[in-house]
Amino acid sequence: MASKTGSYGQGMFGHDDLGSAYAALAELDEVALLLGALTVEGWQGAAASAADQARIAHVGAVRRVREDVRVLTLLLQRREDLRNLLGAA
Amino acid sequence: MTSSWYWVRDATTAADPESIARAATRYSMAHDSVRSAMTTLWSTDSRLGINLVVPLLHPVAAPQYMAELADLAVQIGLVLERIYEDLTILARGLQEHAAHLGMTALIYSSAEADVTAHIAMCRTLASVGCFAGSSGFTSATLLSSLPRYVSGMSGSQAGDSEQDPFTDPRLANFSGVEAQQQIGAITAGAGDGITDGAGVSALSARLSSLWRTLGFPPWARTSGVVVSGAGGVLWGGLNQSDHGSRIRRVNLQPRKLEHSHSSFPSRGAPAPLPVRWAGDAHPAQKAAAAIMHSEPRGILPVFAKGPKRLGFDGIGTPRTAGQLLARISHSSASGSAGQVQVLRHRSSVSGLRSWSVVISGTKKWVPRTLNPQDMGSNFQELAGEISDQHVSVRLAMELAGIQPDEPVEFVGHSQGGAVALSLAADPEVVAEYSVVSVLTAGAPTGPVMPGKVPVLALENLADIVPALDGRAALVGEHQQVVYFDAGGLGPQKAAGAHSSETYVEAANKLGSQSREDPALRSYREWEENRAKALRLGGDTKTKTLFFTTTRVSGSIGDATVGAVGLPGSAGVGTFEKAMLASRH
Repeated sequence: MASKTGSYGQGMFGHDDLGSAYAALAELDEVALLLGALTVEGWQGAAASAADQARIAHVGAVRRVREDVRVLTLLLQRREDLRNLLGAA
Repeated sequence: MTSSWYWVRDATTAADPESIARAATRYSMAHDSVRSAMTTLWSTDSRLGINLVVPLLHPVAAPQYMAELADLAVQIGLVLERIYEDLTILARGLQEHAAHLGMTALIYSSAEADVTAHIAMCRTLASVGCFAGSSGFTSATLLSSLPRYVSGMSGSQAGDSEQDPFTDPRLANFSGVEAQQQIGAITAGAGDGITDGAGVSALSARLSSLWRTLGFPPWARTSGVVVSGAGGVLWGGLNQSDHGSRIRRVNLQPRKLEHSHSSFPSRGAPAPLPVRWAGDAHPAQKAAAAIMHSEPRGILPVFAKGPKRLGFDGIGTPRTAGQLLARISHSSASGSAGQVQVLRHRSSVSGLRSWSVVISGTKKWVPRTLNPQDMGSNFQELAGEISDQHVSVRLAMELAGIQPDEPVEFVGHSQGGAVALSLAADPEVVAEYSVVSVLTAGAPTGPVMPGKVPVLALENLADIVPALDGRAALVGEHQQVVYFDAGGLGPQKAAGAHSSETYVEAANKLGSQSREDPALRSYREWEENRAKALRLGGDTKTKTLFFTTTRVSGSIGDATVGAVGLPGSAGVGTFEKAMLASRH
């Protein structure tokens, strides 16, 4: 809450934001890996194909979100760069 | 995002519950990771506003930087909003899929009758949040819950005996699943140290014994049932001796039955009961007179109006499971009488006939009523006994004139499904009729399963009734169970977990999807084989016969025997006396 004072502390310049976005990206990579490695071995016949379709749909959803988070990191990085320029001014 | 809302269990299904449970666990972990990512990003979002303000406070900020920073702020805000929305949907989808997989694993696990593995799986899945209803699989859990179910089933609430407790929204979904697991667990002997299939069977028998204890004394010993329709009246009941047919019947309307076909060809048509109609009649005659002169709800058959009004009702031929189940809602009942529908299918070209016997569920949620579709019959069925409703249906089949070489199917909802299966598994019925198919919906199917008759059993996962037998439905080369999640039909259907309408809608949806989903191939084949076995073609016309059923009040040895002039030999029950009289 120190930020409300207008401090120029490092956290105020978005280092933590970028770190958080990368952390989220890593978590989503983990989810994609987890779901990608899932198999339906030992499960044949009924519902097996439906389960696999659901898995593929979930993996697709994870990838879409991951792409958005990657865009977020680029935006945050640009903001970081601008702030560095401001800091140098 | 879609996930499966149904599962088929049949002889060709190969499932490894452990593998499915592992998948459920991983989905649960994936869900946790997504939630964690959301929390992480939330910290970004919460700082966003502050980080926008801070540069504005810079004393020498260049205008072009400020403009780009403002634009970035907007873009970041939009991206974050989209990410949150997608992550929320993703987290929900992963959680639901984990729960679905967990439930699937439990179903297959319970079907394997490996109690130790089943209980371990329940606990594992509960620990990762895949199944919330498995907090305590002990005898104490069920016993503490039992009064709630029993009081609900017995309709102990004043004036509430017509209410089907299993369609009560308060018992829907979670409660239903919870109850299934509790009842299944106690039957499986969790806490009794019995860990093999034989133990499961033994404990299932104990549960049946519980139902019998609850249901039999002192009202089980009735004097049979009277069934009327299609121009005849039959009084039937269980034979008290071990000789001959287990079900004996007496013709209360011989003049009409002369034109009826008997489905007991080896024994001939039942002989008339030599009694008079009016006055101090025998309870069976009173019951017959009552249903002959009453028209409850306007649809029960009144053959007294003449041979042209035999309760026939022309309808569309039911060609799918959904259409067949929809016939159940056409049955009616009153406090003193139940109803059985028999659909007669006839080819207008060949004249060949086939039949569908439609058996609806419990109508009276107390035992000891005049309507055989009551809790008394439920207890009898769950105890593995021949129920009064079982007898009623057999009499209705005889009155309908079903011939031994004419294909016949049974379809039933709830109690009706249990009766349908017990009929198809009854050696006498199989010997006397050409039973070609069975369809059950929301029925406890565990105690019996016919060996060679194709069976399709539909069970809503949120419906506790199929679990009341305390064991998984048997499946084999000719039998399959299709479990479904009524949540896949919408929230309203999920609430009516046990209602026949829910099953009709599920069957219609399954039938539609079976045309393109390989997982439902056996479902599609059942429908095709049924239509073929019943010889249903484009030239088939269908009519409905309605039969009224009622229990005969009074007990064996009733004093009214003398009033109807039956021989009163000591030590022989009323029904046996009537049978003796009918032979003379």
